[in-house]
Amino acid sequence: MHGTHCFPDTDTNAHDQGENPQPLYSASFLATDLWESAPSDQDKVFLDLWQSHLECVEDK
Amino acid sequence: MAGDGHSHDDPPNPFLTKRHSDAETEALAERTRWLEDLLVAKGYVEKDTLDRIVDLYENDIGPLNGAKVVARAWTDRAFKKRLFEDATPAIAELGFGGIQGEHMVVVENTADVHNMVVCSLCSCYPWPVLGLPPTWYKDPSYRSRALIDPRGVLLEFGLELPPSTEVRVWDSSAEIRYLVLPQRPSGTDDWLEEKLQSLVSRDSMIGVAVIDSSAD
Repeated sequence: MHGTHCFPDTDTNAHDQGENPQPLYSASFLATDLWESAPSDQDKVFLDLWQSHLECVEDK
Repeated sequence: MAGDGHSHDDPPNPFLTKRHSDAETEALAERTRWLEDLLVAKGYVEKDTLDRIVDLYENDIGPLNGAKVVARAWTDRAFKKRLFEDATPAIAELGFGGIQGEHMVVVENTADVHNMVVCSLCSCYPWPVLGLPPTWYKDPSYRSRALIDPRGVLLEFGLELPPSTEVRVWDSSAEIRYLVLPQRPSGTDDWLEEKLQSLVSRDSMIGVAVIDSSAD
């Protein structure tokens, strides 16, 4: 969890309509879950993702 | 350099295509000049201010700032603790901060974990501690392959990590700017902070290198 930050995707900040702040998370993924070719089952990729980039697994 | 990992039958991927021709660089430079002229003409920015910013980041602000942060963290346990609790104010204690460094996070390399940093979307980089990013950091090849094949990329940088090391790739895809705290080389226990600073390379703070333990 990185706190709450300006959400850029909707471009509100660029148009003087406010920062539309959202919680920002550091989400870690196992490389083997992302890439078939990943050589090590312990390597990880960390992505900074905003609240609206995430969806609850149960919702799928 | 090695190929981009897709076969010749695949459609070209624009994100893996390098932009290296002089003509394209010149076209970009010209577009930038037009934009700058327009912004100055409209009174949004002052030419002197722009020149001062460029001068600062080209000449005064560079990886030595980051090296000072690293050497302080190696020698001052309380500072290191503050650095991991909240890096931005800790780094500001040394006088470094500002644009592209408003939200800093420091990740620590250990005997078991190696961290490296990329910005897959563009070239986000912690300017106040590292200066402007190197060309390869902005290259589509590094940006994609650092995520897909970090060990292969590190090998091209001359760093072979043992399979037992956990590689963590940090994609600065948002507001956070990452700095890697490299491992302090052995044999430097009695070194003072200033001497330690001289060991710390830019690449070690991006995480594409480690600091040689055979420091003399």
